[in-house]
Amino acid sequence: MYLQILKKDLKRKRAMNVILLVFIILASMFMSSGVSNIITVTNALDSYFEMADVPDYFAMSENKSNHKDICRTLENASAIDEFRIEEFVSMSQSNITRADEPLNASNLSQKLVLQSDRSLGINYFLDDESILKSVPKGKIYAARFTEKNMGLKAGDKITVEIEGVSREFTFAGGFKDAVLGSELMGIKRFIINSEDFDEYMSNETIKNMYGGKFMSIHTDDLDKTLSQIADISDSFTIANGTEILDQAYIFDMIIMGLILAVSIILIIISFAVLRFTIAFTLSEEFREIGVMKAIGIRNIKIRGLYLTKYFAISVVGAGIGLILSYPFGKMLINYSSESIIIDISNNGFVNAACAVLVAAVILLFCLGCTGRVSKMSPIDAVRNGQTGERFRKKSVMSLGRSRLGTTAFIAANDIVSSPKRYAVITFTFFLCMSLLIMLSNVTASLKSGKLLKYFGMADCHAVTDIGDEAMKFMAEDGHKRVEKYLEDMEQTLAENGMPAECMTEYYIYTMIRYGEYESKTAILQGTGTTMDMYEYLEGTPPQNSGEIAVTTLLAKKLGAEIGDTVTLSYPTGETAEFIITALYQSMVNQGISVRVHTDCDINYIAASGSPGTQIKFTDGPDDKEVLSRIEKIKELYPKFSSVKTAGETVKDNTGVGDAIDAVKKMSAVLTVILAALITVLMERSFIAKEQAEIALMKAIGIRNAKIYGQYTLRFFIAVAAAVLLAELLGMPLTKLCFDPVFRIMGLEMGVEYMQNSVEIYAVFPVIVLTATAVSAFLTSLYTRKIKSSDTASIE
Amino acid sequence: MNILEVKDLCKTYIVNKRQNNVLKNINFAIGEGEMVAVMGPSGSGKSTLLYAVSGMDDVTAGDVNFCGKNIAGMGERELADLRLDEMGFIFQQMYMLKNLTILDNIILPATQSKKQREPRRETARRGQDFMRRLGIIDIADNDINEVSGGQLQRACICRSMMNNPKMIFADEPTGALNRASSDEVMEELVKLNSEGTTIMLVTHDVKVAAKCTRVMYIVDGNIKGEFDLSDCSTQIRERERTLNNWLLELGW
Repeated sequence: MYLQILKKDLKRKRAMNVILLVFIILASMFMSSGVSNIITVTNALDSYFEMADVPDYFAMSENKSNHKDICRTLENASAIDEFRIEEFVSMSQSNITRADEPLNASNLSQKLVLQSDRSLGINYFLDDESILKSVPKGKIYAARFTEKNMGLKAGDKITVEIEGVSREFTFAGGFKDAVLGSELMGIKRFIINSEDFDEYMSNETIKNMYGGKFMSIHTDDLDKTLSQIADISDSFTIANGTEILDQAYIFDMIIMGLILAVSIILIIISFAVLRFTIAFTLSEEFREIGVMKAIGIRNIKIRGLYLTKYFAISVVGAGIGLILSYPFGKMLINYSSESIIIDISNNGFVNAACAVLVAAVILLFCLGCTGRVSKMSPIDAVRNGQTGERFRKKSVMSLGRSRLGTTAFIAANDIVSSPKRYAVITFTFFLCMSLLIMLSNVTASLKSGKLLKYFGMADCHAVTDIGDEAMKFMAEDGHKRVEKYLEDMEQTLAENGMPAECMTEYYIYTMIRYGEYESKTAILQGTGTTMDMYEYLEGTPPQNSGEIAVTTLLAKKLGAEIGDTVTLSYPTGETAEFIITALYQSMVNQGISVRVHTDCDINYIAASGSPGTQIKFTDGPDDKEVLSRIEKIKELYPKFSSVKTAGETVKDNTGVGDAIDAVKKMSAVLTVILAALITVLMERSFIAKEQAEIALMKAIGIRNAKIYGQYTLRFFIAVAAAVLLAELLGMPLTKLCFDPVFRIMGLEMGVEYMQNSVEIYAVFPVIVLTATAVSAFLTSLYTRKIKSSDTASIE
Repeated sequence: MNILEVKDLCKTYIVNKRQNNVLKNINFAIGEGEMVAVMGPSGSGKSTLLYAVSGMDDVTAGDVNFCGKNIAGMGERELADLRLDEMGFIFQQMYMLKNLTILDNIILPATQSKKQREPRRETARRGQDFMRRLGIIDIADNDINEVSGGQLQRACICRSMMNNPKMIFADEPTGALNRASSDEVMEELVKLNSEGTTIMLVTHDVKVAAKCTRVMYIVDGNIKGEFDLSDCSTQIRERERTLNNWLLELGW
């Protein structure tokens, strides 16, 4: 008999059953792909590091500032299990040419190094995810980031010329570099054959001035290792443990975090909608349940009947959802980082378990809903069912007193009379809309010049990469040379009708001590700037060369406060004492840096680099004029690797603006699809339940067009409320969700977010509301099938 | 003068490729001010006839002239306007929009009509007047689940009267009511008819039909007979007995 009843039920209530099935498919698909992605993403970095054999400690030393025997010290350190040394030659973009043209990379803040395939420190992965073992003579591989930025293609002929030593290579492809692959690490490698490499190193100038070593150290006791190599570590220009490497991938992790957020939102949406649909479809059954109870069928048998039906639908839905979850999950994960290898092959079981979970949850919902019916008397069940009767007052609006048009009134009244029903829609769309707004805010911020301050730079209009020149200032009298260079530049710009202040920053990595605490830190020193051009959180800017500003993170690490005296040990062996006068925040060196006075006399021989030369026009040009001046500067200084606006510089420094933009666009498309699906399915279920009312409205002479209007308007109002709510809470939610991410990067106080007003207040609301209105309207056309004479036949 | 004239009306349903002729060449007319009951056994086509002549359902063949206009060829929109402005409907199930109060349900057709342009307040006042007349003013702000079936059906009568229709169609208006409520509802319908409103109603109940001026008896989609009660005694029991005898002759 069960089978008979089920067959009849599936036929008779086809519309509601199909709607339920579609929602189960969606829930299963979102849940399976979402959880699978969450697991993949949270383990991605660990799994990637393991595959790449990333060392426990990684350091870089340059020959010009280190004359100690690194190899011997490492060999003598008993705490080191294994170490590898990769020799390199520093270079800049202007050293590399393709068909006699310099290769212009858009990201100027990356230092380039050339190294050999001899004793590779880690596993480098090629495009097909195989490991790079050796490089044939005459070939060259580049880090994926460089390949993309320079627009290199396999087969390109590349010439690398350093200090008169020139060789031509054929570009063989890109590789993924787990240690230096992220944008934040600031160094990108080229790998060539060891024999080719030796030709460069045979030149003494190259070896002494541009040469250096990367050290990959494997150890179980990092603290002991560090104490055993303390003799050479002061000269390291970069030294990181794995936790720093984790942080270096923070921008990549932002993308993965977003994929995670999208997955979680999809799971929440699917369960909210599913819960609603099951309760809604089961309320359709109340009357029949009542009848069965009235004729004496026992509760357990009645519940069994519905559980069987929902079990059958959920098994079919979960099965289809499971199959769809694989391509859908892959599509989502494809938006995540290009610099990490993500292993998604082992999550088949997770997908299947999630699909089973969805089916189980559906049965639990069903059990809960039918359980409520079990407690009712037959009459209660009948009355709570299809008659639509209820036992508490619902109408809160009055047509007689309302100024709204009748259609708008009925639509609004329906919403306030059944708030729970529409709250599901508002909540669902609020989540989608909030995600879009948050993504828009972050994208706008990561492309705004106002974020330049977080990269340790003063406010400016343009940033240039001066190429080789920057290396020339890394000398004992570098600071003075920089000052002269900037003065000349200001003069040239003024002579060409572009009055400007030129300035630059240099970074030196060294040790800082306060009492018993010490830390590796970056020293930032500006040239051409004044100390009040930087932003401080607390205190007063350093007034003389004996004063210093430190980041809040470093102050915490050292336990130091404003007024305390700290000691800096330069890589050259000298030390100097400074009084802390201010606290600030910056992403440089993951938030661990100090800013010394512009007059402070520092030996630039150990300087590790400069983020570029900044130009601030003093005659207040508008954006258009700035762009035209940038073109002019490119003509004046053809050797500059790049000249860009402050916004472009921030975008390139973070490197994820475009990727977040891609996730944002994907989320927008997903939102439109979800909006259409949820609207169509929910409205269709409302229509199925309200057939009698629709027939009545038609019988008393209400035109079809007005009924379409009413049904469209109900969804439009519910979604408009969601949009409004998301607009109001968009910025606080962005701060809540993204400040912790920026905090990891050293910005303890969070970021001043930018807004793309056109996107937030026009584009997104319009696309979401249009998708809803169009879907609701098209679905409402179904009411055409309900005739006024159906008043006679609808139960 | 006839308000409704039906000529050779046919209605056919096709179910599972089988043709089912529900109404077969029906001909009749209803004059202004009449109150006509349609009776017949279950499945005889009474309700189908009511819905076909009121423009709620399309016809397979024949003409239905309402106030001189053939509604058989009218489009959906014209029919909706006609039902809104010129016709009133009362159903057995006392359908109302469940999210609206009783008063709002009553005034709903008037707020949609272009026939009487008036402020919303005036519409509400007219609705209240009707409710007062039918003795249900105290349930104006109630939800539909808070009132009895009889009250609800009287509210449906109020709704059907809001646009001053030329004719009211009622499909078993007392079918779901107890005897007392049924009498109250019929009393109101008779009163409306005596004030000049034409009414066509479908019923199984001889007591209800006896209050009408004419009765049509329909069997298997054909009108088997018509009985004029306008000349009968005004005594309701006498009218019922006369009608019953006639129906028994027809096989009731």
